[in-house]
Amino acid sequence: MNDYKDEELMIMFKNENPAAFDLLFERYRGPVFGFIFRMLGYDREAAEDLYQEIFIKVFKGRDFYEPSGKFSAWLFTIARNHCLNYLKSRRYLEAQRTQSLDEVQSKAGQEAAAPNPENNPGTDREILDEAIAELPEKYREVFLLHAVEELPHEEIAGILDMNAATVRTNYHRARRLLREKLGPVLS
Amino acid sequence: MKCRECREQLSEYQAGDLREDISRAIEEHLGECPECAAELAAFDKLDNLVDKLAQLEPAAETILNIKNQTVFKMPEVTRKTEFGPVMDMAELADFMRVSIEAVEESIDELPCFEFGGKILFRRKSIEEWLEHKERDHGFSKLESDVNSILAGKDLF
Repeated sequence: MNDYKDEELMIMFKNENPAAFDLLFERYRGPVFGFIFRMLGYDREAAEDLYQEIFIKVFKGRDFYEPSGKFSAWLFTIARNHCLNYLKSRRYLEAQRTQSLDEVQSKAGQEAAAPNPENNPGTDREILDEAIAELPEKYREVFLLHAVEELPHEEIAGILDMNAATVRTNYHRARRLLREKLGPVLS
Repeated sequence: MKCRECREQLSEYQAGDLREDISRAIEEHLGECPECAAELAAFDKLDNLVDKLAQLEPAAETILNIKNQTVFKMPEVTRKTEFGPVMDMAELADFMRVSIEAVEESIDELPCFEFGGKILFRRKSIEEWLEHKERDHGFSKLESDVNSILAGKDLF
């Protein structure tokens, strides 16, 4: 069964073959979690919740999958939409909270709590992870899907509903921003 | 080509996303400019670092939750528990706790009759047939045990 393509497994899974779903889950459990975790800026609790929701959605929504499309594109589209919805609601909640608190006091508290890379620089990999987390969303998602998950630009274009040229442009912008942020680490 | 122009396109150059003439111009510039060549090396280093990014895994508890919530529900089987004196094939299958296919396969063995275009079974005849079946099975077992003892095999 290991030789089957994702799309073939998905058809078997649509026909209620539980082993097909298990295999798809094994193939994508790491990549999808990595994508979500990094998209959410390393918020593990939120990433675990979202990850669970996504796979349950895939399981329940198997009939919506069109066998003509790539399974990975379908799966990452669901994952990406969940991440964006979550980030949107988190931003809204944060804005609400800021308004309701004494802003000066809140800002002072946040600055004290924020990790300072100067005091604790970490490994090069950790510094890269931090830099990825700081990328604007539209660059971060393209960078993660192409550089980390190794999806081709054309497939990413389908996931993000944009043309492949824009995907390429955003990807290179992300790399340039990372190069700037990482400065001496890469020199 | 100037350094600024070159550096703005290094990422695209490295990925092979540029027109051939622009790529060639950058290549020429890189051959003459050690600072821009070092900048290209920085992009190589970025790629190496990305390749070494940790594989992230969800918690075991999360995986367990997913497994528990992604189980195919088998259709509920409702079996009849009370039967009249005459049964059709579906009722007989329920009566004997087997599938209709199993009844169809053994139809030549079963006491049955045809009426109104349907194959029907008298419950009493079926019960008698089952009794015979039980006795035959007991006898076969006894016969096989005797043969085993005669062959010197230990039964227990």
